[in-house]
Amino acid sequence: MGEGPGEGAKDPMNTNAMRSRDDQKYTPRPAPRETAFPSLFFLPSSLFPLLPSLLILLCLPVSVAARTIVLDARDCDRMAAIAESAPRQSWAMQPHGHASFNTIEMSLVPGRSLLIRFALEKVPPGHRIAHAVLTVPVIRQQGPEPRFYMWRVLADWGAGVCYRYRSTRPQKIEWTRPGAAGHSSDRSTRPTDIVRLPKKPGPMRINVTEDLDLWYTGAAPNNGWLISVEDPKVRVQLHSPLSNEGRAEWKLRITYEPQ
Amino acid sequence: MKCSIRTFWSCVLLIFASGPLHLSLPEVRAEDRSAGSAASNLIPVVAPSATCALVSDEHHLLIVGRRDAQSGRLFVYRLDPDGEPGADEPAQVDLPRPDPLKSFRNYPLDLVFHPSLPLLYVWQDLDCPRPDENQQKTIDSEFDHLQIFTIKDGALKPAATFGRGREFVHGRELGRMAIDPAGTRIFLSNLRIVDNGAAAIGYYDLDEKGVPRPVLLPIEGTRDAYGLPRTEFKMRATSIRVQEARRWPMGWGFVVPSAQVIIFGAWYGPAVWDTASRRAAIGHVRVPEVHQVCFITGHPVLPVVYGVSYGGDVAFRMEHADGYLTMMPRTVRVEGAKFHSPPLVIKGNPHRLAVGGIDSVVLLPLDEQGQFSGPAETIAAANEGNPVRVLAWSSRTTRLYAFLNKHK
Repeated sequence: MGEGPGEGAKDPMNTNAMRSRDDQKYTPRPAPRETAFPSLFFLPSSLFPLLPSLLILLCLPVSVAARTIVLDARDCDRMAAIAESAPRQSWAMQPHGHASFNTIEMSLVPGRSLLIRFALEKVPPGHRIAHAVLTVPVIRQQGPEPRFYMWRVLADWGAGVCYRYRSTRPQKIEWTRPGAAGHSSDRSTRPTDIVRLPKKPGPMRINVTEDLDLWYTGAAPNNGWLISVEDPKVRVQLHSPLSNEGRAEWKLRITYEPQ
Repeated sequence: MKCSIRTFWSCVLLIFASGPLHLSLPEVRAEDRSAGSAASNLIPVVAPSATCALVSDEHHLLIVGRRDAQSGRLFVYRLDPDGEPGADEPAQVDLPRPDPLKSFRNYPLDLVFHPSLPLLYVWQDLDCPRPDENQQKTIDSEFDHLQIFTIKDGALKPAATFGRGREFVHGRELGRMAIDPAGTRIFLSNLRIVDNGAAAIGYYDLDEKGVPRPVLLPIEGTRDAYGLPRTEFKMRATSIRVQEARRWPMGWGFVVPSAQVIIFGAWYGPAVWDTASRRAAIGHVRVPEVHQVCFITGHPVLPVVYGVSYGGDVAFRMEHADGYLTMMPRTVRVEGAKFHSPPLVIKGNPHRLAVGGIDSVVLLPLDEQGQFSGPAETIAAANEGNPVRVLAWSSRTTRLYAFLNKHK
């Protein structure tokens, strides 16, 4: 039959002459209808074939945008409350009765402080910490101009940590100054923040981006924070990060993005 | 290249039909096992209403205390080289009771051996729910809670009795004792503060023969030349109030790494008693997810304390350093379990934490660091629907004994 597109004037290659017998039976298919795609996709038509692939890529764990995770006290792998009045105890959070301490709440006064370390394994490698905020749940406060301090802990601490020692296994290692009070040795030279408490107590949000970045990049070892009160006659009561009710109140919100 | 409609919508449906990823934390599930190495090492012993039991590997004895019609006695089984109780009836050893209290039933609550001497210490109690004033005076002045037996040629012989006075409570379901590794102190659980009845724990110092030492106490109403009270030696337990950590004076277990600092079972978690500290004697740690009082025990080698919630399904592990609780507790929930016995660490490959449940014994595998690892195993121990409250372990024969009301 030899039908084909066009006469010889429109067929400079003279493909009609080169067509095989099978080609003579060939009937070209109509072009696919572009109107079948949803009108929501205001994209160039050349990208339409790539849409399924793009959708798959968007659902993969590898994100192309910043992501935020929220850790709470259950993600902590180290915690202790050290007190001058209980020099060997690791959990002297709150005095209760005569010569007795418990972990129902965390009572910060001069000479009693909290050590807390969040594990950062949930932040995938190869990213950059864009923003990090720690929420410290304050229940009540007392004293003139109450405030508490957040310090990045420099010295490693572990089993047996107390007011006197930063570790007692495998051997006893003392803090440079008792209570992790050594500046530039036990704790950072300057506090991460000095949090002044408003009249009405509540959760306090502290920007800890710089500390998280140091730990995440490995520039400094992650030994957590020391939360303390340094001013006389000031008492700050926090939800205990070890209690069922309190541990969800402690939040570390981390936003990270690809480098 | 142009994509067909069908291909496009197929891809879209595939993406959304896959659903969100389910990230669920692994839960320890109890696996029933009717046979296996753990089950084959379990020896059920018929001992209705057993309250305590202990194995002496040195003397090949299994000693059981019971609280029933045949109360006030210890049952002593001789074990064969495989750890099986002999076919003969167990020998019975009476627990002494003063004549004025013969109408009341006494029963043993705990047994403990001296670490180096051939001595068995028995804590006994008296079933006298509402004593009148005279009966209470008699109990306080004549009933000795602590019995000491010598072990010789496989037989128990009474040696001494101690533990009388108003500071000791009676009529309790549970009571625990423990001796430090050097054998210098015996710690007791069922005490109270005499002035206000608050729950307390205490200890006796032991001499070189394993006998409690008297302590120097002032004689009321006397004065010496310096105006100070005259003193005399009296047998009195050194005690401390623990009401804030444990409301009722009952024993939930001790871990005694040294004579100075010990750990005891309390409400919602373990607590520390530093006997040398006046300002911070007690340190109570509440373990998250534990909502009841808890039994505790210690790892035989590692500085680790294990606990189980009484009647619950949560077990926890916590480290200690020289007896001071440290670092964070780790908990594990055993699905379908109800713990009713003090836990035991049984050696093996791997080591396991054994706890009595309802008609069963639950075994939790431990790794080399004493961490919980792997799923729990449940071994059937038919007990007529009752909990298995007492377990005993022989490290020589690696046999675990469960005490049942009746054996099928």
